[in-house]
Formats: sequence, structure tokens, C-alpha cells
Amino acid sequence: MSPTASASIFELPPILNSICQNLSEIHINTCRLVCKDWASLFDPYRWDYIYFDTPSYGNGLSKEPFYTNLGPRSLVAVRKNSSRIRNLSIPLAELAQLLRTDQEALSRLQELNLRTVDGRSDFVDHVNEVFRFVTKPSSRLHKVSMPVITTGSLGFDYCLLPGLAVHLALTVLELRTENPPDPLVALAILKSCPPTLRKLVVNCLCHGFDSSMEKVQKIAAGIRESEEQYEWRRLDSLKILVMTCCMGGCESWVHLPILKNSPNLKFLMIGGHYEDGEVDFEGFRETLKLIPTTCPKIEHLHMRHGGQESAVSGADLVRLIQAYPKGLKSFHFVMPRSGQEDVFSVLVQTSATTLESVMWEYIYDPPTLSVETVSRLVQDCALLEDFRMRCRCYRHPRCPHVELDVLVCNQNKNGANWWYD
Amino acid sequence: MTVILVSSDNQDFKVDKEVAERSILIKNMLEDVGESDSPIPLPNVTAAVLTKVIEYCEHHRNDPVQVPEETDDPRKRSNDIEEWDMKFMQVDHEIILAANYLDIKPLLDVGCKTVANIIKGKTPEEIRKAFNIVNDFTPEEEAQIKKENEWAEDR
Repeated sequence: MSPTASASIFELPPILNSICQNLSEIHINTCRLVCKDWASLFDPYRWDYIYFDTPSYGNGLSKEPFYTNLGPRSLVAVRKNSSRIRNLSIPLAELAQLLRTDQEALSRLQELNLRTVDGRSDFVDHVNEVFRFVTKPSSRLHKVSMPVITTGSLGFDYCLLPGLAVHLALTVLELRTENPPDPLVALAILKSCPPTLRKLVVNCLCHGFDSSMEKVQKIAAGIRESEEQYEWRRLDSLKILVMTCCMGGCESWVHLPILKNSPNLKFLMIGGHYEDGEVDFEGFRETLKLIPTTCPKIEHLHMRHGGQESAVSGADLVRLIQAYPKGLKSFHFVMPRSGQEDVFSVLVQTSATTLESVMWEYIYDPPTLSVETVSRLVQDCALLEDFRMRCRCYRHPRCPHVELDVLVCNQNKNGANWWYD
Repeated sequence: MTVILVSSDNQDFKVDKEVAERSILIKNMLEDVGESDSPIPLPNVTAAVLTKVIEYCEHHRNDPVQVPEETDDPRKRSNDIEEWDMKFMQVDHEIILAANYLDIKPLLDVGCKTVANIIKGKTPEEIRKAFNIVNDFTPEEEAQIKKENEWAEDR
């Protein structure tokens, strides 16, 4: 390799950008120690990702907040270089402060992770200020992750929502509901998502509202009233959808409408942490029935509803798998009490040439699934590389699942972990 | 249908149109010119490099053209260089410059990943060796950069 060639590779911004996308901060810092040219060429990439930790005030002795991971000097540097930052994780109050000192701050920001700090009223005090920044017409933000907490009497400025609807740069939105969540604000935000959205993550909106269905239904009633004000939009670009619910109260008014408006969905994960007796699985079953008609292009189906009892029967799962005759690329599910063999055999029938990942969870014993059936799935699905089983026994030596577990571990071709982005 | 590409050192290359169009630059040029037999001059690419680039495009001729949708793949990984590509990239970095000029994004990506892999895990001195770079820092300047790096690594 000639010195001139190497030099010019690093001097061309598109090439250097592409190289640095594959390097972490520590490598960037090493590169800055190579020579003078590299010190300045790689310098902007140090500001790609900035994480503001929770501030401390030195036992109340100091007026100025101190950020352990940034240090006091560095905070000044972050402010000075804010136009270079592309990816920022920051508490709401700190972001509001940064924006107050410099209106043009963070002009190149692409990814924003907003956090709240325990014991502070970050969300209530700063949500409108921050949301105004997120929906600014000149914003290049394409990924936003934010908490949604009840704003109490101060209130959320709903007039900002039309700005979100036309923020066409935004492709990824994560709404994390923290306790106590504000389902009405969250719902209004969801209904104002721009049509460019490709990935949506929604936490449980009925979480923290007491375990009684009565209360959940009360919220749902309030939400129905607001239906007239905000209609659900079509999310034609939505490919990845992750939804969780803790109490089974979200299905009818959050999950179902989103699914009805996402015809091009490829990846769907529905997760939950339902406890026994808290909820009946009516809503969950209804959702499963609806998915094939509203989202016919799904390739990855992950259903992790939790609970001590499978929400669906083997026949439900068989119907669901058969609804995707072109085959699924990944299928994660809770093993039903009955029809376990049928689930596996229909999976082989429809998805032998497509299946890359299977994961199932046992929440009770004993398994009725035979070792032969599991082996057949592995043999017949040539692309299968991620193959996992979970059970609640945590590998107790006398667990009736041990035999299957050993088989699965042996078959797992590369131990790859399935993940989504 | 074939097209003729002319390297900077005036060598002609007869290539299938489909293969040549892996380069967005050439694809756009062909669209602009319309039906024409006239050769396409590539003044920034030498014959030696063009040979390699054509070899790459031939090998990947049946790959789907990268569309933004592909980034949706939930399993997109950063170090996923195909074995063939890995061997291919063990050549002069002028290919990266050519990929950038000819606008062949998959080739540019694989080239940049290869360079990043060379950098990873190396000390500054080892990087200098790998890229033929002379250390032109004074001890004071080097200390200053180290100081600047420190807070970043503590974060």
C-alpha cells in the first residue's frame, strides 16, 4: 500500500465517515495519536456519541452540577462542541439547559435518548421545551427515545404534535413509559407519528395503574373520548414494531390500532409480564387473530407474553404460522400446554427454507414434545442458526426439560443471539 | 449488452452493462447518454484497479442492489465481511478510492470495514506501520492529545 493512497483514503470525508462508523471511541482516540493529520481528521468523530450521566451537587455544597463521567471542564467542552454531536443520551433538564444557552445547539444531532433523573421532575418541567426541539423543522433527528410520564396539572402542549407529524426525518421512535405513565399523552404522540417511521417501540401504557381491570378500563374509556380528536394514521413505512404490556390493558386501544395501520410490518415483537389471574388473555388472542390480515408481510414473529399459563393454544399458534405460507424467518413463542408437536411440524412445513431462529419458553412441565421432533426441525431447516429453549427451572438437574435443553444446546450451531435493532 | 470502459492509462475494458451498472456513477452516465456505443472514460481509475473493481462487480453481479430497506434487517452486524470479499480486499487501498469515485457502495463499505479492522486493537505505533505513516508529534503535542483523550475514556 502506498503512503499517498493511505493518506488520501482518510482525507476523503465519505470514506473516513464510513471507516469511523466501524470504530468505537477508544479506537478513534488511538487514531488521534498516530500523527498530526490524523489528530485533526479523527477529532470530529470523538463527538459522535455523548452520554450525560446523572449530575451530583457534592452533598449540596456546590451550586454547579458535577457530571462524574464528563467532569466539570468537559461540560464546557461539550457545550462548545455541541454542533458536532450526532448521538446524545441526556436527562431532560440538562438538554433544556443546553438549549437555553444556545438556540442553535445540537444542530447535527441525529439520535437522542432522553432520560429522567430520580427525585427530579424532569419530564413535567421540561417536556414542552424538549419536545419543541425534537419537532423543530430544521431538526435532523432520526431516532428519538423518550419517557412519557404524567405531566400532572402543568400539562403537555398538544399544539406541538402537528410538528411531529411532518418531521419526516424521524424513522425510529421509542416511547418508554415510566411510572406513572400518561397514556393520553403517549397515545396523542403515537397518533402524530410521521409516515416515515420505520421502527416503533412502545412500553406498557397501563402499567402502574393498579392491577384492577376496572381502572384500566376507566383509562380506556377516557381514551375513547379522545378518539374524535386524534385519528390513527397509516404507518406505511413501519417495518419493526415492539410492544410490551404488563397488565393486558394495552391491547385493544394501543396494540390493535397500531397493527391495523402497519401493513408493511416485517418484525413484530409483543412482550409482557402478565401475572397469574391479573388478566385474561382475551385481548392477546384477539391480537393474534388480527395480525395475519393486517400485517401480511411479517417475517419475524416474537411473542413473549409471560405469565404462568400460555395465553394461546397449540391450535392458535398453528393457525398463525399457517397464515404466513411464505415462511417465517424467526419465531419466538411460549410453548402451549397442548399441540406442541403440531406447532413444530407446521413450522417445518411452512418455514423449512426460511427459518433462521426459533426460541420457545416452557412455563410448566412436563414437556410433551419429543426429542425426535426437535431434531427433525433442526435437520430440515437449513438456515436455522439460532435455536434456543428456556424454562423456568433454571436448569435444575431434575428438570424434565433437561433432555431437550441438552439437545438444543448441542444443536445450536453458533450460539448466536437473536436481536433486533 | 456490453459497454466499454476506458481506464486512466487508456486501456479498454469490455464489460456487461449489468456488471458495469453496479457503479452508480456509470449507471447514471449510461442513463444520461442513452443508447450509445461510445466508450466511457474513467480518468480517475487505473487499469490495474479497474481490473479488480470489475472482478468484484462480476462476483457480486447477482446480489440485490442495495436499497435502504435492507438496513431494516434486524440482525445487521458490523463485522460481516464475506470470506471472498475479505481476500479480495487484501490489495491496494486504491480500490476504496475507486469505489468512492465510481459510487459502488457495497464495495466502499467492505473496504472501509477492512480498514477499520486493521486499526482495531492496534497501538498508534502499529497503526503507523500498517499505513506507512511517520510520527510528526512533538512530545508536548502528543501529551496534549493524550490529555484530551483521557476524559473521554473516563466517561
